Amino acid sequence: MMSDNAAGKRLWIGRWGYAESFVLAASALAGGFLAEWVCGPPPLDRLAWPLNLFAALALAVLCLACRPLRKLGAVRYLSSAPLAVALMIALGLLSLVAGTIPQAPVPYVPPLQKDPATRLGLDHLTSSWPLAVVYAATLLSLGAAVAVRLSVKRPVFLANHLGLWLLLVAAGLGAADREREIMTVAEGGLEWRARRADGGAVEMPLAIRLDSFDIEEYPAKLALVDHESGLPMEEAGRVALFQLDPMEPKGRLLDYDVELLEFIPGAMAAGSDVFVRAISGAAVQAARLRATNRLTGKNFEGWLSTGENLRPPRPLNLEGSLLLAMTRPEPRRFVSKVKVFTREGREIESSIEVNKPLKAGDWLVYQRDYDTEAGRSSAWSGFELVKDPWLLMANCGMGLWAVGALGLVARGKRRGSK
Amino acid sequence: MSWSWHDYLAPFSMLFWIIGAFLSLKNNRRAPFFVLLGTALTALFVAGLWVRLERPPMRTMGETRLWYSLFLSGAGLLAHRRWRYGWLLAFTAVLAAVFAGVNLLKPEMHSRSLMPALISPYFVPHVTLYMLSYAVLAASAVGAVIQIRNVGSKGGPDASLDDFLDNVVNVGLGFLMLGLISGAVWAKRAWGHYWSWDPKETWALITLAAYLTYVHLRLGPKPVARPRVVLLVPAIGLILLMITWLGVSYLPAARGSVHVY
Ligand code: HEM
Repeated sequence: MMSDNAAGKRLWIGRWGYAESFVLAASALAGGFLAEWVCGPPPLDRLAWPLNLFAALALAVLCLACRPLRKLGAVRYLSSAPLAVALMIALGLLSLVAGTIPQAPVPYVPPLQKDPATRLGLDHLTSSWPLAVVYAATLLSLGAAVAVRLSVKRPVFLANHLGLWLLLVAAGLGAADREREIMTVAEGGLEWRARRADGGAVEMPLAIRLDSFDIEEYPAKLALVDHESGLPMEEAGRVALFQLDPMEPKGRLLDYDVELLEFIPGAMAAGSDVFVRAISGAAVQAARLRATNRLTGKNFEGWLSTGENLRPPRPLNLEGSLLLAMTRPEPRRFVSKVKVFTREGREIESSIEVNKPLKAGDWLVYQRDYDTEAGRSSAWSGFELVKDPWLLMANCGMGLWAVGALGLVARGKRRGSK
Repeated sequence: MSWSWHDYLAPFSMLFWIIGAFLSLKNNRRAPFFVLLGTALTALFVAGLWVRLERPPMRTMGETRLWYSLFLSGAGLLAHRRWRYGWLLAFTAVLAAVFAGVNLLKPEMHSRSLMPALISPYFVPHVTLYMLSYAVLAASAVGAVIQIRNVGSKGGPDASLDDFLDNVVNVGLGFLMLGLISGAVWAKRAWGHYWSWDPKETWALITLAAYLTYVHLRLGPKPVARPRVVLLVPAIGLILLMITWLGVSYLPAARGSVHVY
């Protein structure tokens, strides 16, 4: 209406600033919470392939269309700093709530009984209407800002904003296409069915054969245990522990001076009171120690070991009901040697460990867990299979954004200032 | 060098920093020298600890505080060379001393073990970038508070301090984003997705939003917003940043966070 005449146009351009932007962002939030209250969470899973592809294309066209229309008041406003600021604050506030109130796991399954906080979406903000609305508005505004200012003379601006835009599109619109399944494979076994989050089973387009599963452990810690109560001794509210460490053999645990005389990371019992290096198979950690009571000077010496399967750990008896015992060692590395068969007939022989997933076609296979009770002799290995068709776009976005971040560090000063 | 050395070295670092801060406020030329002594001593300890632990000393809170002291005093020295603000060097040196002091008073369990998810080439750059950005952004908060006082005074705001703030926030924000991106890339490798709304991630986003807000507030058309309101943003940013770093584990939302050690 206002842009019908020149004066109205100037009004439109000139007047819309921070106040209007904050009102707009607040209305978007209010509208989002209202929608959440009335309709429940948005059906984000329906925005799946190919619908999200169309949505992304439509968004891109809309943003690009802002380029020739950049003189238009509405487009100038859409791509302006005040709107950007208001949207950032709205996003920040939503994150503030999401970072304070515990959030339900994603994908969100609404409970049957709903209290007002749930109805407003406060416990699942990351998949709620308010976030969806602000996110969409940000995509539009950010995209328009890029299109309007598209120029090689603004490399830092371009890298930051285009990078972030690509990342946000891939992360947001691509969300429904992401799949995560959990697969448990027994040692020596072959598996092609995965467990869904809801407990059902699905057949995967790939099968995993687990050839072997190995754990490397850190040296165990020592604790003083009262064997009558079965409880470990504490110091300042925490269980008192002594880290076994062949490089630092002497130390103190509560009232005892502890000295590590011998340490065998992979040991087996040889007779009733001796441990030797294990040749093969299941092994435990064993240590020969001397513990001296600092008050009485009494000292105790002998072998200790960790437990394994049905064999309990071997402690060292001290005075009274006190014993010195090794705790369950923490894993340093766990590795599954696998052979993966894809539906297309490819076979990949490799090992998978934490931080080193295996790529098999569209899927990435992650090392997830193992039988922690059994430790080294775990008979199975758990994997997580992840598929994200939008990953390439997200990576491009992150890469470009990182370039922009470097540009910001290198440039330092504000653009245009001397 | 094991952690027990800290009890002997840290008091000296703190002493040098405090002397440096004091001299800096007096605009004494020797101030940077004393700050540098404290920083060098801390750097030596960090290096020794790294060798001793056979892993980067970045896992426990105490260890990250060590890096923070190191970067904060280092960033203060660099920024002081460029901008010559006495308060800047004084503030960064005092804060570095405070964090070294916290480590003296709060000895934690310093164990050698590092959980498998942390054993990754992304670990060191990720933590380093964050500590760097935290150090740089802390300086912007003090500058902003000083400028808020200037706005109310007769002389009005100091134009070169505005430039300083833009400069420091841009550099700090750049590092903050690189820290976030390296974290996202790492998360993809370790946990399967680059963003999971884990409380620590969410708080990192909140912090990012605050500094982005500042950058964009400074870009807008002339009567941006009231200058004092704009200047409040870096100060609030520092609070959010400290919550992200130190406070998240205490929040109800952090139950089950993968980032709490
Ligand atoms: C990755 C995060 C972001 C960074 C690092 C960033 C940084 C910057 C920088 C440094 C400028 C100055 C222009 C230049 O250098 O050429 C700028 C301008 C701008 N940014 Fe961002 N920004 C980010 C996100 C956003 C978002 C999410 C929006 C929109 C919702 C936005 C909207 C704008 C607008 C409209 C301008 C131009 C302001 C003007 O020229 O008047 N930015 N941004």
